[in-house]
Amino acid sequence: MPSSNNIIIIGSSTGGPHILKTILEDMPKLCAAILIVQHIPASFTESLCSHLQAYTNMPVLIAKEGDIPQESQILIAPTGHQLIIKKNKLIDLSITTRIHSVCPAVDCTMLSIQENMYHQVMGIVLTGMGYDGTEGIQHINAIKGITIAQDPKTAPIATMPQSAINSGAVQFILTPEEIHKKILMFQI
Amino acid sequence: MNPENTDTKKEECHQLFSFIVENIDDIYIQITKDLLITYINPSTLKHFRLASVTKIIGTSISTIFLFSDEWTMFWNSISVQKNLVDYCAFMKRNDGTFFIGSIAFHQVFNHLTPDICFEGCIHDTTTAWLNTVFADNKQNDIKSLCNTDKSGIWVYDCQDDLLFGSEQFYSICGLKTGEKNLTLEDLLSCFQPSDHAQVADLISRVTNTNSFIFQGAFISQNIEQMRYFLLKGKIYPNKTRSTRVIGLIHDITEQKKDEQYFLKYATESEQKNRELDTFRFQLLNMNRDLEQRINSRTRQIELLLNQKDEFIIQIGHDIRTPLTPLVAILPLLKKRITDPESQKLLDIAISDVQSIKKLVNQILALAQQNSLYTLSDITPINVSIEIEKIITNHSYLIHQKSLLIQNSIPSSITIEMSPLHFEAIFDNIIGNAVKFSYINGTIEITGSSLQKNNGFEILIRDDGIGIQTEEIPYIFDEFYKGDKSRHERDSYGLGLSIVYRIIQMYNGKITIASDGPGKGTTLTVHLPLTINQ
Amino acid sequence: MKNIDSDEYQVMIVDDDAHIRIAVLETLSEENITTIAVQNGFECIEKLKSGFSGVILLDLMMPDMDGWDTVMEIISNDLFKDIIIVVLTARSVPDQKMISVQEYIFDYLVKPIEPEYLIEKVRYALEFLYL
Repeated sequence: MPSSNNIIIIGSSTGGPHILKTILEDMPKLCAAILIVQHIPASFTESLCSHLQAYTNMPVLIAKEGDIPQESQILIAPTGHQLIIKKNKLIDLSITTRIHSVCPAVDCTMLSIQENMYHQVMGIVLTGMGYDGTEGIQHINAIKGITIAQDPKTAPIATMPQSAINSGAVQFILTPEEIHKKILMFQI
Repeated sequence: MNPENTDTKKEECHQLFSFIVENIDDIYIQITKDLLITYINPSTLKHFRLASVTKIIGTSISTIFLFSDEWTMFWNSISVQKNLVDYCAFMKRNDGTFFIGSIAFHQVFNHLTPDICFEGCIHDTTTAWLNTVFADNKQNDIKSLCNTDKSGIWVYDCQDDLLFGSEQFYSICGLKTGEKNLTLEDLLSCFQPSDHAQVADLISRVTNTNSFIFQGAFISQNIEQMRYFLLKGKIYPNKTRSTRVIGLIHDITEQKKDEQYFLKYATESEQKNRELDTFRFQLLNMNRDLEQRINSRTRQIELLLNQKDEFIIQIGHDIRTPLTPLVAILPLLKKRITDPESQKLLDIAISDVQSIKKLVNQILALAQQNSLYTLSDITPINVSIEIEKIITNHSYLIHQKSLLIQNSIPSSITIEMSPLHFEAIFDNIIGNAVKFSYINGTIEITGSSLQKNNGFEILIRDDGIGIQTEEIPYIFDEFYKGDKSRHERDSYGLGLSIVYRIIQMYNGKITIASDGPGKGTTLTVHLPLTINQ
Repeated sequence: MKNIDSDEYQVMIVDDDAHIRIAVLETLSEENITTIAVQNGFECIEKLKSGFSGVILLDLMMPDMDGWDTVMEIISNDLFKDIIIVVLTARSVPDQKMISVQEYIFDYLVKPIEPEYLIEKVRYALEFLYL
């Protein structure tokens, strides 16, 4: 299957699942692949998958080594592995070290996207503790992608999105509902 | 040619000749064949410092020669060769001074006597002659020096111990002309006694190949200040027996003074430089010191701020803990109690608890910022949307009083501000408007951009209880007793004085107006759209 | 998979303050969510060892064994089975040390919390757990 031309990467931590639900609820098919990096214990990855599947028509899967992100597909990074996109657009899960005390870290995923790899790249940082996502957002901004942070006021924990905002690389500060609308621009 | 023409011609020539002779600067002398002076021109008087012509007419021309051997040579040349040109000799003036003359003489026939006689000119060639004698790399030096009063010429006859000097020599050495014949002693007296031997020695050892330069100092009695002299000496080239030394003496006091001044200045500068170096070194040390102190102070402050933040978190916890059950339990209670009176009381309790909760959050958030009155956390704020949110915060009371709120702020206006400050300002103002409205009252909120100074104006007008005219000037003062918001029960409490200060911080303006009690109140706020105003 | 309406306890509130325990118990009971209350981390661990599964509402600022200690204890004793941890604390910004266990914290609620909001969040967590 051909790789998607557009890609959306969402970083999410404590309080994330509920926000992800709001964002993905009734999401139609998109001209983009969605990668979700949620900090969650391994035992819950499947649950998260099934949970989100209930709210959208797009297939929600746990990413596997060698997968190619495709249009209208939602891939969730498996706990314990850094989700990296190689130059040939294949997913690499070989690294298992923690970055910013987490594995998977959305920074890792975002930083693996090179300029001109995709037609349009969107990076989103949601609620969470710590600073995962700040470097990734700066990188996506630098390669002329779209950068979004959840409005800290709507986040159970404001630290992660606020840290991204403080870097100056966030173009849009949006509520979950507004993020949903923003993603719709990739509608088929 | 007829005799009359010849005579006329002779007359014309004579007139021409006379004119030149009378007016030229050079000396013109006529002498008999026995070398007695018969005529001198006016310049001669000037050059030889003669008072009158009579003194010299009839005397031998030998008297103008300083040195007899030079006179002898002159006489020999004239009588034998009948002709002498460009002969340089020392000329003696009447006052004892001398100059060097360039002499040209020839034999003529005087028709009046009639007999052979001689006529000739003498040109004062002192400077030029000296240039050739003392010619060295500094020729220009000599020329300019010789032309000033600061340089004198002297000539010393070693065998006869006779010293002669130019008039500048006399004035430099502080001697009076015409008083006496000079000796070596007079020259030496220009220098310190301790130098006399050395100078005399230098002069005596001057030979054809050996010249000298000597610098010395002397305090002259007449003038009573230290003067410096430069003495130069050379052998006088002559063809006769005597050893003569000619020389220059320069009064270099001025130069010396300048030299000393510059030396002093250089020493002082050097000293100053060293002092500056020391200062610079000290400053660098102080700087380093200061930097260290600033660093440690900054770390202290950071530590304190962290401690403060921890403290605030602790206090936050302590206040929020008893609040939590209240927030949870009161609504539950309300559900379980059917009595409407009790329910009303519970409503009041619930409302109070909400106020406390909001206040606690506001205060803790503000306290966690390092200061209420610093600009930080500036973000673009959509005014209309944020005002709507603030209105919603007061929905309970608005509903209770059946108030009509009209928010007609254009949705396009965005201002840059700290969200905390924005909320602090407008929550207070709108809260007051709600509080002080009558039942079924109306609150109008309008806003517009100010074209001229890139600002934005918002008006909040209520038709409630209004303000007394006398109270208006004090309404923004701290601790103002009339500020009901500080005392009434459900005050949301930051007070208009704080609102005023926050607006000031943004270089904005707030004014309040009321037509009087019962006639409502209007608050006008001006704020810049962007921070860099 | 457990039925969300079973009689087994669904929520455990861990807080050193008695009033808060009472308030949470009352609020959740109103909604038929069976809840037990424990005073500290030790009791929480005991209950887990005895087989508790469900949502743990965990206070962070407790004496002797605080929220973070409790989470570490749960992880190291391999007790993280069939539970979801929702932090309920007066601390509006989590302490730095919580970052290392952030993936175990499902949600973060700040006291004082509106009862409706608490109920919504607890329901959501239960939903997620019993999916």
